[in-house]
Amino acid sequence: MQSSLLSKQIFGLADANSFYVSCEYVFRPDLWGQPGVVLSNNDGCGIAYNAQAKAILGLRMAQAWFEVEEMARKIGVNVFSSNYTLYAQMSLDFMETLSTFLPVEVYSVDEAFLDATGIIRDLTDLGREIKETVAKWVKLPICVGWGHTKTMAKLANHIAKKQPVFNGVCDLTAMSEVEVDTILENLDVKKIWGVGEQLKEKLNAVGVYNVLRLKRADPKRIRDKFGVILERTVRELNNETWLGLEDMLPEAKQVRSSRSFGARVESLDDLVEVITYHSTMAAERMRSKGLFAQGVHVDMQNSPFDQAEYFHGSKLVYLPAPTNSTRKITEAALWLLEKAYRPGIYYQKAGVMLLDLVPEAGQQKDLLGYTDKDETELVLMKTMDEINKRWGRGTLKLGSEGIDKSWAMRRNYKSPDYLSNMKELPVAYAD
Amino acid sequence: MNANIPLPVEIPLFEDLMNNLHMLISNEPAYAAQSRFASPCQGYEKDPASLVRELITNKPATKLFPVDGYSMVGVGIFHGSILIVNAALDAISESIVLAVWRGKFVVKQLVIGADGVKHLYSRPKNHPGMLLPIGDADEVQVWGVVTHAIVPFI
Repeated sequence: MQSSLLSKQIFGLADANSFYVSCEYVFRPDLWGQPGVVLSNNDGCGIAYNAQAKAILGLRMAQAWFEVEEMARKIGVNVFSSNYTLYAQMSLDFMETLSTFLPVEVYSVDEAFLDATGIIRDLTDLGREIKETVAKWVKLPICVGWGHTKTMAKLANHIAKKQPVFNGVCDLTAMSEVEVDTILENLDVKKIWGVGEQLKEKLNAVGVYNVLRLKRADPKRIRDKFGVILERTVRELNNETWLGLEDMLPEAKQVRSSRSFGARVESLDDLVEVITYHSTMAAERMRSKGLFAQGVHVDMQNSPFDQAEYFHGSKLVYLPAPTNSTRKITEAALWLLEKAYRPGIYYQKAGVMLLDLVPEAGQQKDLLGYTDKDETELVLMKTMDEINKRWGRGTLKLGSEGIDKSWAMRRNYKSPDYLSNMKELPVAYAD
Repeated sequence: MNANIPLPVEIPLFEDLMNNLHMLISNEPAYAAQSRFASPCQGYEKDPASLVRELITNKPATKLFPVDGYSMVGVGIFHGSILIVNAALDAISESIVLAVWRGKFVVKQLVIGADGVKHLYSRPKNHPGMLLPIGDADEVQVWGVVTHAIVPFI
């Protein structure tokens, strides 16, 4: 009994509460306790709300921002454009703090799995210490959930977040099966990791409404009816570990960079800047994963909500050999752009996707013996990435990206780069 | 010197040019790659002394704040100084702290009385110190401990 308990895996999930808004509030003590919302790229709609804003806006959260704006402002909701530079740094600090406690697997910008297997300590106590440390060091509110599987850790985190009695930390591994089942019986299946609206309806159709019902389902019948993923979930609900730390969905086979424009873009010259920008971003992201692209894809569209007829142009090319060079990728992307471009259209969005990514080792020579493992090019790219990392994005870029970027995002309410720009640090008053 | 005689111009071989290009854009010092003799210093290299490593011992908990105002000149914090604030440290009595007071960040000295009550003091020049008024509605929250202030002289 003792030994089987010890060998049982334990996962934690640490997740920041309303992460984007919490990041914005860290450096705005004047706003603490007030409702806050962060808008999507281009200030199109709200993507993150804190508890106070959720309580006030309720169902209106689904509406476009311009429809809600006036009412929200009247009530005193604080509004921010998304400041991803800030969130990225806060996320790093958050993850680094977690890693002082346990091995960490970053799952998304605001949540991470922890491996507590073999830890001989009260986990509620440990969870509380992690929560307090993150609050003290990084000033972010978080919740921690513990379970024998990742699926259970996710559920525990959800419970910790929604049920105030738990005070932000829920340890399902310390509860009896009866206690756990009572909790699961009161949870909608939709709360399970990987169960979306569609799957929920299908499950409801066969009488599965709460999590306990799914836990008690026959895994084999679930596999026949819903596939192997949900079968795995059922097994995980029964504390059979199927997913280990770092055991995730297969690695990205593609990288995409695209965005809506702040203003409509019509001319080819402007689009050249846009496409260069996105191929630069995509190539940089790909290099950070140590990958090489075999295909380049470019697409552009006008808004489906504009008066004009909807247009979506896209083109794809395969390269003679895998490359990670911004220059070569941009060359290909601009060539595609010229082919896909149609004048007289007011474009609203464009992007570049790099496809069929392969690791360096998997490179193959083409018929002429040409590979892209061109040393000078590799060194050049590495230097470019280092300079941009050190001096800020866009310090070193291709000429075709342009300087003023009239097409750039609308970010009317963006906060300063508190953590990454010496000129925008938060001020300490000595008056 | 006779200006009419042109200076000889050395035309580098293409191969040398490429080698030098590599050195120009890589981080490795060119001399290290070119040296013919093993350096007597080999094996003794260390990373250069780093202010960042010295001043920032807990990276995720440390933030920078420039100072606006003159009320802390008495302890060497000037208008325009940059504070290094470590939020992981526990403030004790007489710590210089970054605190939140009436909705803004302030830099003050924390004084904890015998009764355990916390007060914040300004430390202007030639003055024993002034107590920051704390009303019923004010909540003083220590955000972090100021470990250093960097004072620019230019």
